[in-house]
Amino acid sequence: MVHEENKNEPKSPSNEEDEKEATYRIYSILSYFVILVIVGFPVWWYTTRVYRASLPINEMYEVHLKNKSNRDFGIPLSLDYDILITFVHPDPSGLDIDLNGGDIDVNLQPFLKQIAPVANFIVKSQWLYLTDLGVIPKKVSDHYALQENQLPHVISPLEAKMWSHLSERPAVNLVLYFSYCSTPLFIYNDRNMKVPTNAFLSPRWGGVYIVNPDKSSCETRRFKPDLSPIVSTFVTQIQHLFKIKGVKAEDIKQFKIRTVEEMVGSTRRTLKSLAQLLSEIGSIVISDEVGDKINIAVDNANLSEQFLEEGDVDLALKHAKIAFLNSEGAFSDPSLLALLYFPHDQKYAVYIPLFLPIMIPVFMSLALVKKWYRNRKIPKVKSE
Amino acid sequence: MMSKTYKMNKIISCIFYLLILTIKLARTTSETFTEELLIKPLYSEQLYAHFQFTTKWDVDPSTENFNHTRIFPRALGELLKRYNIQELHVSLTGGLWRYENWGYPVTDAAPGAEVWAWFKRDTPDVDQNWKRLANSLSGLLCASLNFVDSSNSISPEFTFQPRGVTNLSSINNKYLRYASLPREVVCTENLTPWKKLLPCGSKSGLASLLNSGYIHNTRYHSVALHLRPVCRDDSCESLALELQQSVSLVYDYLILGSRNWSLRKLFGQGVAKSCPLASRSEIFVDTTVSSTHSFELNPPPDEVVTSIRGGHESTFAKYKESQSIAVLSPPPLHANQYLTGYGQERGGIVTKIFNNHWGNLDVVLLQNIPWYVPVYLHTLKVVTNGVENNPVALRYIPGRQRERAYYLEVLLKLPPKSTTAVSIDFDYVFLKWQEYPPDANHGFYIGSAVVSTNLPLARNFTGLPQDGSTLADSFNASRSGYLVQVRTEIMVITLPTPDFSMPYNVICLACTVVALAFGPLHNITTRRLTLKPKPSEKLFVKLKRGLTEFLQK
Repeated sequence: MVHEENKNEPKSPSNEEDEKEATYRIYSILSYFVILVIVGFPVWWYTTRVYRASLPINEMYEVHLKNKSNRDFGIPLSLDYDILITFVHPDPSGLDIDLNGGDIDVNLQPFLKQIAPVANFIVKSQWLYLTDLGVIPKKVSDHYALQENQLPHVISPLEAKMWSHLSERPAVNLVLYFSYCSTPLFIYNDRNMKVPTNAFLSPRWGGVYIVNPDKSSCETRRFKPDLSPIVSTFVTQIQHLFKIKGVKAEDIKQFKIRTVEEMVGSTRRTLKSLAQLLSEIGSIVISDEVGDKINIAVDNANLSEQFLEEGDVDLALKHAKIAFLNSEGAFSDPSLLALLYFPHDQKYAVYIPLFLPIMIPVFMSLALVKKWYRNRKIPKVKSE
Repeated sequence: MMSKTYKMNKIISCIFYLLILTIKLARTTSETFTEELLIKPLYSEQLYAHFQFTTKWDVDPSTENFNHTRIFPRALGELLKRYNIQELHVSLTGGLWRYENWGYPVTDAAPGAEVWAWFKRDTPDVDQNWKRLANSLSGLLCASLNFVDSSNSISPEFTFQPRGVTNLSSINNKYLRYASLPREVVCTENLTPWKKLLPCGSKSGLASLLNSGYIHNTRYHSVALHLRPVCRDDSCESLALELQQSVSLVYDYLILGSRNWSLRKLFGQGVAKSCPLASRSEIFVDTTVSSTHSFELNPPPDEVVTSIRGGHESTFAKYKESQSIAVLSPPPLHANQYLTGYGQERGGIVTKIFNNHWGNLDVVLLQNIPWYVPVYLHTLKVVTNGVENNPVALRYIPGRQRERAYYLEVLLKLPPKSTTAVSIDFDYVFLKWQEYPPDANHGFYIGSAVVSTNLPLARNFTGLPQDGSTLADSFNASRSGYLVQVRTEIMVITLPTPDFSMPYNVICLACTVVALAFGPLHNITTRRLTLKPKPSEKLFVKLKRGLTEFLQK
């Protein structure tokens, strides 16, 4: 049986050998402490930490952001868009419509080329047959009326059939609805007046334009709609959706400036929220590629702002696009969540049963060191 | 002066308008959509119903950018363009088709999900496109096709040749990928987006009969999508794109309740309206019992008729109880697959192929074995009627753990009226603990084997000819050979399942050992050991002393 030294009776070491042994014991206690706590603990912490590449966190935090209000709500920001034209034809047996999506594409190109530096627009078209507007219009003398408060309910049933989520880019939906021959449809605003354009738009989604076939086409059951009002309505709707005032060069320049400001603002907002997330959730991994993207985004946002102040709009737009692309790429990278299901508590739960039984004797034996040190002082005092 | 320039401007604008007009006329390409339903009473107590929806678009698939579509669904056009696809075949099936009793279906499908695609020649990275295509299809059809990747896909050389028009001199199976997921089920969630791809949706026409409450109450139901380039006409000077969507159902008279069937009983409703976009909309009822190529007009119906607008007259009739007894003759070729062996160390897969034809048959057997079932090629044995039979040709690519599946294709010559057993042995492997599915004891699935042959006879065969698109093309369509692909059952093996509480056990054991080793070591090196005389006392007195000492401290 091994017994511990009786702590209640402080014995002064009787001979030199005893004292030398005591010093060796003290050295070994101290060496345990140094290896386990001072060297081992940081090594363990370093090897089990969540990897984070170096980031300019302060710069990401300290940004001045404009308050976003509801009025700024519009088509989401992106580097390219799909303009999806959907022709809704509820009665294909009653009327044959001669219209080609490719022609509308050709006629939209001049306007799209003007705003091409801001984003890349691709025009696509499809037909939806046997689909009605989801609301029941009211009969007014010889035609039917859609009230303004019924208009929001038109969009959801149409959206379910349009496959607009299938494209890789955000879609701007332009719907062209051909009403039944027997029920010409007009939109009435809330002052009960017929809206001359017969079209409406939803700022986040797109626009709807209602075309009524004329009586002669209804009789021959063949309708060839006139392209120019359709194209001009669509161009006007795109202008409203993207908040472009007109087609003159000055308006396009304003549009570019506004896009630059929005992209830089979105970049900074994204990076700031990422910085906040990093400080709150400990298990988000920032790999080196994501770190590079964030650095590029920060640098390009600053460059773009600088160019905008100098007045060089095109260069500012170029840098703003790079910054926006990189910030979105960094924020939505799937590698960020690689360790999401391994929170810190699990790490502690695995290592505590290993380290706790080791650390308890090491720390308790430090008390012995203190006692030995006091004992060394007393004889010294005594001897003096 | 002003009037002259004005006239010139007018002429120029007229010419421009004419130009646009001609471009417009040249752009309109014709699309046709046909829908057909085939109802065929099978020999046993079952009824086979097959819907076929075919869309043919006269456009060159290699140059079209699919930006503007009319009847053809835009969703599939986007997939074709984005992933550079030449042919696409997807099927989702629940249940097993019994070849011995039911003959051959119009289109065959393996139980579960099956996807195979041919990519175009200029595709730079076929594996990446394949993975992304599988993910897009899983979003399109609400099925878990995203589990398809390069570790369970193979490129068979003989079995899945391009079904559509292709440049024959350069078929390279490097551009083909095939994968099957036997674990998948098919239900309403898959049928709804599939129906949205049809031009009339599910509102009118034959698609309005597809009510999921009735359709999934069957012994076999399969929803499929086949996309391929075809010839535009007989001269084949230009191409067209063909999309076939089909639903195959096998109803049981026991489930229906009686041998009298009607559309209302099968599908819950009659056909309400006709689809205005369909150029042809017909229902065929197979009245012959012994041969398959003669179709007659139905007997006058004894229930309310819904006539469908379109080319031929089509009616449906409610059948009275049939008095004749049909003679069952099994089809020329069918196959089964099963596991052999016992224990959790070694096992075997046996595929039995039955040739009931009076002549020789050349067949191709494709086995798609997942990477966690390592097979050994030297144990491959082909035995016909007790006699060993050497395969004509053999293609084998061994799998690699977690990277590649095992691919085995065997070309066999089957003698007449024979039974051939192809057997191969495998080992059971241990998987990493994260690779087990949530219900680990359910087992792992092995997909079905595919046996393909060119049958000289068309008995019990209702399949479409290679150059046909609709069921109507299959009538009186005698050819020199009929391609038949037969799929076997799927199998489930239970791999050795680990004890999932082991990580906890390991932590406890390791920590205990370390603590037990460290404690005495630390004591010896840091404490002064002294001898203390042990007083000889009785146990009771010793305990009392120890207790009082402890209480004093």
